Amino acid sequence: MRLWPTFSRAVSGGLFAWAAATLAIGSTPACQLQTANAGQTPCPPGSTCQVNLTLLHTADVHSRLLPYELLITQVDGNLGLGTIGQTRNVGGAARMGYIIKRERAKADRSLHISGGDIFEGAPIFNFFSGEPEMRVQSALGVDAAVLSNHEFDRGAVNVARQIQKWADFPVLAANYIFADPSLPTSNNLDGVIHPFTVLNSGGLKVAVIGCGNLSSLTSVFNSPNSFGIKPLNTTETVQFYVDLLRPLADVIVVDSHLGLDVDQRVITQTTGVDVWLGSHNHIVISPPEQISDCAADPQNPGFVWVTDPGVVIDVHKKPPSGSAVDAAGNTYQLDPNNHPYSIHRLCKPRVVTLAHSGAFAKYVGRLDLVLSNTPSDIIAARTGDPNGDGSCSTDPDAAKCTTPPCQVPCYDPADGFEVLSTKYQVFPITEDVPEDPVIKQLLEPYQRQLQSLSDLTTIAGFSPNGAKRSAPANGDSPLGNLIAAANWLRLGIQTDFALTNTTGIRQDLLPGPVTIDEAYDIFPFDNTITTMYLSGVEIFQMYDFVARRSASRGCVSQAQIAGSRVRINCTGCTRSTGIATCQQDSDCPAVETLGTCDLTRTTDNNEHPCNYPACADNVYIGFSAGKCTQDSDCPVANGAPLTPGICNVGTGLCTCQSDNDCPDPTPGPNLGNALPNSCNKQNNGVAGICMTPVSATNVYELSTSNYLAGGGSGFRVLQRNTTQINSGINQRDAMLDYIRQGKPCGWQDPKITKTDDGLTSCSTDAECATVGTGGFVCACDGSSTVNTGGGALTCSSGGSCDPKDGRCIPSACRDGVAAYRATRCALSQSPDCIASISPCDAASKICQIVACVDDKLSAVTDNRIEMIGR
Amino acid sequence: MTRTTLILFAVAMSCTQKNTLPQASSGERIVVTFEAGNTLGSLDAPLPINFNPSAAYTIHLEMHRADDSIDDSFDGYVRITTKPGTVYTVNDGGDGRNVKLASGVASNVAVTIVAAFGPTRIWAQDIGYAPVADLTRSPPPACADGIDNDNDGRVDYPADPGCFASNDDDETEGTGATGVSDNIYYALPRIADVRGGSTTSGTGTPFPNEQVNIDTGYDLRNNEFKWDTVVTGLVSDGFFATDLQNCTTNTTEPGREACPTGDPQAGLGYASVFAYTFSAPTKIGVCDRLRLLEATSSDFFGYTELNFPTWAVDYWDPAVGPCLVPEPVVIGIGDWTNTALLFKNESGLMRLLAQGTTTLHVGANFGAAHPSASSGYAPTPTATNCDLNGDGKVNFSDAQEGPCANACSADPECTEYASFQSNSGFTIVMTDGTTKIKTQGNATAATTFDPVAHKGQQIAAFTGMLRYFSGGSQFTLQARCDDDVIAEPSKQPLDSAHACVNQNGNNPDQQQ
Repeated sequence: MRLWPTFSRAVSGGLFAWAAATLAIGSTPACQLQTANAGQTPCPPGSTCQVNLTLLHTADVHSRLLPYELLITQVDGNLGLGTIGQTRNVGGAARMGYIIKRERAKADRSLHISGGDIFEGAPIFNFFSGEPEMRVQSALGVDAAVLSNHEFDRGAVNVARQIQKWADFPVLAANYIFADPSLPTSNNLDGVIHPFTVLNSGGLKVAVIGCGNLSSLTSVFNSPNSFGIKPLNTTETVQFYVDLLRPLADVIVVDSHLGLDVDQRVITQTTGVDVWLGSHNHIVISPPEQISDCAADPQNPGFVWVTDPGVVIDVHKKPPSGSAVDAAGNTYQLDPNNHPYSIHRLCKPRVVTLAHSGAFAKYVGRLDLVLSNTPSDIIAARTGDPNGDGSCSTDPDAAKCTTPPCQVPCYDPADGFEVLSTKYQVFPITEDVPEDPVIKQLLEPYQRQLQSLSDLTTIAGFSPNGAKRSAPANGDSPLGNLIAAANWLRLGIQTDFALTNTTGIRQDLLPGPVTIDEAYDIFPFDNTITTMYLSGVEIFQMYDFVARRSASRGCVSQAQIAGSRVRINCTGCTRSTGIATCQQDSDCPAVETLGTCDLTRTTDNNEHPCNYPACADNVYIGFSAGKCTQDSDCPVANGAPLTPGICNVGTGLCTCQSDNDCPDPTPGPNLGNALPNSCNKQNNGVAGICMTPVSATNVYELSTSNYLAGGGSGFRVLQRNTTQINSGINQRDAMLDYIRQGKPCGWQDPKITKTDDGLTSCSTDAECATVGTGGFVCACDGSSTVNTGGGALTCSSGGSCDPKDGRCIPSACRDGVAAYRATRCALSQSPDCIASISPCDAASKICQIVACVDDKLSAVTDNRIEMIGR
Repeated sequence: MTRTTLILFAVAMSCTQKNTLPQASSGERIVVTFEAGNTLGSLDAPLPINFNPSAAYTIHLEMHRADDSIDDSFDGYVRITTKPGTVYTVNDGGDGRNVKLASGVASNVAVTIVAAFGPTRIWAQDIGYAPVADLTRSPPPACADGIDNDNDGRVDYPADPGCFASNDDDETEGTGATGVSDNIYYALPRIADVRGGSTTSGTGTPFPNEQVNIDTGYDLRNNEFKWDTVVTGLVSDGFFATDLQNCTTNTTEPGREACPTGDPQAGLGYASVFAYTFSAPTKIGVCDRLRLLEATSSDFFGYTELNFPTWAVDYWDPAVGPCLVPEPVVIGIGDWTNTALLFKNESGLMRLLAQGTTTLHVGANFGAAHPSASSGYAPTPTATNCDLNGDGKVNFSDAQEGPCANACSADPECTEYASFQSNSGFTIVMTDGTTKIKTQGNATAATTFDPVAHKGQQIAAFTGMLRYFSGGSQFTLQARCDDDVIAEPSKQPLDSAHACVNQNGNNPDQQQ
């Protein structure tokens, strides 16, 4: 183990200077290393041995401290959370606490590592700003946690305060440098966040290094920023602390919130980590990945890049280039572009275990490790020789041997214990898991306050089929369209179009009653609606950014929109007119990545088209329905037949059934050709209206979240806009208001129903048989009886209604709302509770009032975001 | 700066709140050794992968105290597992997968394991479980007797964390002591093993949800390829790889044997697999040779995938050698209904080809409109959208949508439009004048080809990776790029060494 080169690099690079300054100002309270007074060593005195260590891992709890309903997907079903396609009650901190205590009871040396993002995702955070989350983590017995991006959702001062008040465990982030605490603007994070901790578990010294997120905290790259954070190079930081801690620790664990792709990359580019516990992606990797470290060049493993300890960095000069010689005497080329000021440091590849353990309190991961510091164990594992006779090489270059016969590198005692074998289990947190009474008791005051402070159980609507946040064709999703429409059409907003980010929608809308509580789960962020004006050029730049980001994420759209249609090309860019023409590469506009000028093609204005790795081929905002009195008044694309009935004589406007009904009106080579994806016809067969191609010189008004407007998720084209107005209207409130304005299921024009409320009058269920697509019952006060036997509560129609009062409502709505209202009796000791609240009668009234969340509220896909090249 | 200073620095930086309290350990551990006579293999001469529960080992177990002496006070059970693989039986299964240690020792414990591969270790753990076989025993087991036997305030399973199951006769916690055996060396699986070539005929992996380190043919210690595993296609969420099974279509290549009938997959098969990466894979391209491929193998609706893969490749350099992507397997008129053949070629490169009397055309019945109620929702040439209520999916149990979709499925010329919108699959009809076969293609990566615009029109060839989905149309050919779709009947497809080789991964900028 070569310690000094990297450590010295830190001196020159500034990391050590920061660390020393931290010590000097005393912001980290002094304490003593406890291994000495532990009175226990992992091995018999003077001996080496095998030891076991169990790491319990939870991550991305996102404030799901209370159990909640979840529609079980295939992934969750395969992991044992429930039957695929059914709604199940899952999660909850009290259940999690039970599993953690149970698994600790079955382990000798055990540590609970939290992967961060404990904040944000349920109403309890919106009301208490993270206090219960932090208290629960302490009560769970967390041994170390990483500081993560959502911890900042109520600001840096809040997270510092919550940690200071409630965390009795170290919160870690080695790759952040915090603002000088002596400044009056300091948020005090410097005083409560540590880069690492060393835990003593049965005499085994386990160092845990924290790696905070960078990819979702894009503004940390601005200087200064509201977090008071300066990000550090993750690879260099990890290597620095590994080298620092190796002489002190037996095992090194990284607690990361970087995300899987960065986890994988940093592991290969460093040496010395034993276990890497990742998070941020909300995934379970079971079994964990086994990745070889010390492979900065995967084709030539055996070294990592470290900053040259002897170099004096002069930012006014180019980094050194040319050849250098490594410790084994091999010549290699310096890499001034990708690894400036860095040299090869030889090392031996070791396997690093990388685990992710899910999110939303759905799972607890348990990683069992057997480790050894006995050389024969390690050599035997490397050579396949069970006797471990020591036939290994002390040559520092042994790992790079290319001329057989090659010997394996010898065990280096400086590496401490090495992992011999791993075993991983993931425990689903289902409704069958008992609750830990301590955690449950801790949460009860918060639950009571939530009930008194808010109207979380208020029913705002009814969703017959639910609405998924994922898009069936990777583009627009039913829930995304509903949310975007709610922003777009909000009174006082009403812009030309609206855009929100796909990842901001955190949960599907489940079939059944839509409650305020569910709205928080879907849209936990307290973001507000911001409006701004964009030129056509900027709109292309914005959608081009969406295209590039989507292309890099499996060609899944990263935006949801309303009032606009777009065709996103994930494999290139066929847009050859408008703004994206050029004579040279620098003429190609882009937000982040400059396009390349395709000199092999020429446009009609004698320029060349810009090429992008992905772009928005076609963008439409606004409608262009022509007037008509007959079908032949409406335009049709070159070569396409006239669509019968295309003229809506009622409105006197042309409609469209396909893009063939929307010819390109722009003079040029495409004049009269069908405009791809310009007809906004709905998938339910309702005719659409042709939309208008965006003009580079026009100005359009956008409504979006203040998060995106501030450059969140990389939308820098919005961040730089100077016309922004923050309306102060909460996006979640806009969604709820939009739903509340909808009509109940079964509503028709009152002229048809001849009732004031637009619902069909009835006296018996039979009279509702023809309403909607079926499944309607006749409901009025006192007409329903409660069935409580055999599973979920349901309602039956028991008598006839006076047609003045009886209305046809969906049977599913009556059952769903009644069952939801009856849940309040779950904790009641009274056997008459359900009878006293008359849930079916209440449901009969509610379902006549609340909105039906279906395609009429845009909860349907219409291919407004078409993904090409999936 | 001295090392002492460094340590002080680390000490100070590690200072935290709760971790000032070291956690105690029993200090006990289990020593697992093999009795004499076991065959353990070696790295150079590994045992074959054991798909059947035939590999029995005899082990010796000792519970050791912290001072390494045998804990002769221990009379309890330890649980036996293996990683990778599964324990099939322990001592003929009398106590399940648990072994009773008497005075801290158990000898001649027979362990049979299955589905093990690569370096494998047998685990023993004291989880505090004392199994009772007779559940009707009186008195009942301690974890089912309604008594707080260990006075911890918790009663029975599952409330008491010391109970492993309701037949656990001990409410107290185990020591947590753990031990592992030396390695047993099995061979690493090749793609055909992961695909279940010799076990499931390719219908599912024999290693479900197992972390597999696939033998790609690259020998790290000797830095040579014993055979090649080549990247054959890139898509937006993963890549395809084919094990060339130590044969080559380039018979001039030294040291390689020619493939049977010139087809790398003839007589062998199951040699291709899809690695799902979620995002577009980087630093990998068509024609690259894989050195390393590790992943979790799983079946996604019947389709064997590698999830969360990590990989390292030998970048293809046209100046050094030919692209090794094999020529596609041409699908004959009767092949599409031969599921055994298709499973054999799953994730491999295949081709529909108009040749001789065989012609291809895009299904003629293909349109965004909805079939009308007056026609009983039967699809017509311009109306094949069976998502009648516009909720983005076809509900097969719906009285109208179900029959509509079934009618389309039964029609060899029909493409159900909602499904096409959702997954881009469309009908390609192969006919030789007497037989008409309905196949499915996906041309979303061929961005210049619009299937709707070509409905009813003949095409010359359609090449792609063969994917499977246990519902719906099951097999689909997924084109990799424009090169794979030859619409003009007069043209011929490119050979594999040139088709779709310029996908993003082979951008030299990405290789840095």
